[in-house]
Amino acid sequence: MAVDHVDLDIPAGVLTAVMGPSGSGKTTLVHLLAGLDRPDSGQVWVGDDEITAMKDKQLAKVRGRIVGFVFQGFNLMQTMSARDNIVLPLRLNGLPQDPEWLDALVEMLGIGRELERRPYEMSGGQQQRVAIARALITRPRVVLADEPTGNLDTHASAEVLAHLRVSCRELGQSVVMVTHDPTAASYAGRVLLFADGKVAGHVTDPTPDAVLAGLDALAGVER
Amino acid sequence: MRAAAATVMGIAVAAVMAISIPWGLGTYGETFYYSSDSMGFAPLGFLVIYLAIPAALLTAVLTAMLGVRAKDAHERAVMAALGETAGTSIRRAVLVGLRDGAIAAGIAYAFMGAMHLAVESANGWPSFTTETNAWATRAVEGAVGIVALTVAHLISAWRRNRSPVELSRAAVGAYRRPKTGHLAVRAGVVLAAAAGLIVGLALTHDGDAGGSASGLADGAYMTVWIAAVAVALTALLPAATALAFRGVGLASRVADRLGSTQLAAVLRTRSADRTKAAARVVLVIGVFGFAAGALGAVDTGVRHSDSFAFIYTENPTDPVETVARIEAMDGVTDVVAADVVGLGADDWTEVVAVDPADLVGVDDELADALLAHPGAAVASSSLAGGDASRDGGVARAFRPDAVVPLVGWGLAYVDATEVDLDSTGHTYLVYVSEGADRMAIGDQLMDAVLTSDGASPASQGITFPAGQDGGYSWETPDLGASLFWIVVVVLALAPVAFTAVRAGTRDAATLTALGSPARAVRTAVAIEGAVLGLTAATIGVVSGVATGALTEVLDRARLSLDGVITDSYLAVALDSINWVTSLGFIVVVSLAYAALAAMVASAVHLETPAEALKEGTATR
Repeated sequence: MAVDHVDLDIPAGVLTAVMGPSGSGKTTLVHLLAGLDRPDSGQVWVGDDEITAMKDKQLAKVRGRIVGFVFQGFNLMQTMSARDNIVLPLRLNGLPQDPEWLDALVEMLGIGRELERRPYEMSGGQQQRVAIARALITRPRVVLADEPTGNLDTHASAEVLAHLRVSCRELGQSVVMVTHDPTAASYAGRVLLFADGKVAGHVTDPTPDAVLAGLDALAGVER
Repeated sequence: MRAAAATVMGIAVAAVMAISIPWGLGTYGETFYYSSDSMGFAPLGFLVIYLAIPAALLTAVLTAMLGVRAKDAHERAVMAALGETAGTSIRRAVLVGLRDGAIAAGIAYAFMGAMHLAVESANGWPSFTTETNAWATRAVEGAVGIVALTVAHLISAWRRNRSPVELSRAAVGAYRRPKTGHLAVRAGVVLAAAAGLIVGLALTHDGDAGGSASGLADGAYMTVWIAAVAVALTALLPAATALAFRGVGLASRVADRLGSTQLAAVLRTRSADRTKAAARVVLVIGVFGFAAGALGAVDTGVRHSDSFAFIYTENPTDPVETVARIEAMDGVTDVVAADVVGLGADDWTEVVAVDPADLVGVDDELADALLAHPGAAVASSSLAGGDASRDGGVARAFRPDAVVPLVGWGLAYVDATEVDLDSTGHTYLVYVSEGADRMAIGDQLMDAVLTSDGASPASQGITFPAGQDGGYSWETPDLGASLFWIVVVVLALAPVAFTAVRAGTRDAATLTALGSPARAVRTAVAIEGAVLGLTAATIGVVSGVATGALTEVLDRARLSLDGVITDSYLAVALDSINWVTSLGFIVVVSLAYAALAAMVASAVHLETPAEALKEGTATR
């Protein structure tokens, strides 16, 4: 069982990090929150809507307009340009394009020179930035990111994390980020510590040292 | 994709092997004779040459299939990065091809062998006593299939001096139009030159049977075939791929006009998402279509009227009494008496001398040909030139001035009023009403004479025209044969559809994760399949039909050196088109591929996008 008896409330305007050992259920948790997976039992709510009770069409609308997802493996369409990948959710969901917002994202993520390139012509870090831009292009209420800075250098990671923190505060987004990096987690307002599919603890107002201490404590519990 | 390629090879080889099973064994009963001669090396060698073009096309199909899934190319890149040399990679590929081919061909051989024995047993014949040549024939066909699969594996493993990094990039799965322009142009030039040579020789030489010009034309004719296949593979079918992607874009605009905005958006994405898998699917269907159009071209020439049933020979006999007796039978509408030469065991062809006036209103096409070309034989074009002198029956009968091609079988008709034959007996052309049971009439005719007055005639026999013996080939222009080959192609497409759709599972799941309803994605997969199938089938069949018509015309031009008469080359080109197979292929295959793609999309669609994404990662 990947996720078991988890009772969580992800507040709007707060960047929430999820940490834990490999196989602890972090990715399954964000898949459930995004409506990409269905729980055997239990409920998932986004605002006032219970997505676990939704039919495919309603769920598709949630995925397309309310949730933005950054996949661990990026999942970019390999044969399409970066620009086409970024605006893909707009096209799929019949949403109007906002060139200014696209330019802002492109500038923030530093992918201006990559826009016409295909993913297989980019480095892992560049692909990750395109994936982040794609997740943010619809200005979703919920952003779920699975290792969003795993392939980025320190400087780029800091920029992306700072942007996620600012945007969730200013736009009132709920942002959930799975990470293994205590420094990345320290950008969050709250860190959830996951083990064996359960929330084993949390750290509020985290610093890298506090996160490491929490993880060490978690490891002690596991031992 | 290895298993799918081996499966397709097995299906194709099994279908070809099925041709040599004596399906008509029960239909003919006592009126039919099956030889049990052993097959020598020469006919086996001829079979290999005859199968060369289908084998080349099968190799193209299998090579395309082996490239459908990017994972295979990715694994080769990893192996190269880990230090595997190109030579080792190719040796491994060859061994894999040989092993997979041996298994697939072995299963096909065993299955068709069992079928052969079952047909014999069901009709009361002892095992291994009918069509004994078929066992060797099927072995050769199986070997050709093994070679095709092995060559396909070899081509797929060929690295062209690429580095592991380049291989890795190439394995991503993005379609790039192959740079085959020069090759296509060269093939086109060779095609034009060879065709021009045949036409030139035909215009400048006459009656050069067995001479150097005739030999040169034979070589040029083979070159035309090879060059035509090369042009199709390097120019026409790649063009079909580009067109197919545009077709998906057009389908998107149509969906948008019809108000299905989500479907339109998914289709637009899939149109832009030009994957190697989709391109390979187009190539596979296109090659099948080309084969259907080119190899399905039907023989041209004089055809008997539809009411013609068979030729009945009975000697000694009184023609007037015999005609009256046969005409009195139920279902028989006309009987035309003729003289015949060549009833000996060594005679390949019986020469039938008939008065064209007797055929007017009964068998008009044959009558017209005899009247238009007095002194010529209406016969198989193989009778022309040197063959006539080697044919015992014809050699004893006369030396034809020329040959008007007759579709189907080993008879030669001549105008009895123009050619003086040293007749060896009488024969009767029997015509029946529509729907009459020709086989039953034949059996009845044989039985009636055998029991009359308790005495048998010295010689008696029935010869049915080709295509009515319950068998089939890719040149038989009837509905049953066409359906058979179309079903074979649909069966072969099933593993292609399965692998291609599975290769796209990850992208489909990503579209679902980004907000497209799963139903819209599945519908788009089906529509994309229909568009790819329709475009590939149409361009494949049209190019195949054009090739078939061109080669048929050039064949006639080549045969004119041997004395074969052609009244209208345009008519030959048009008559060679197998409309049933061609149109049937386009309609059935495009619909079938769309249905297969839709079924596979539904079958591999997992419960949630998360599961599909995991599955897609595993299969990509």
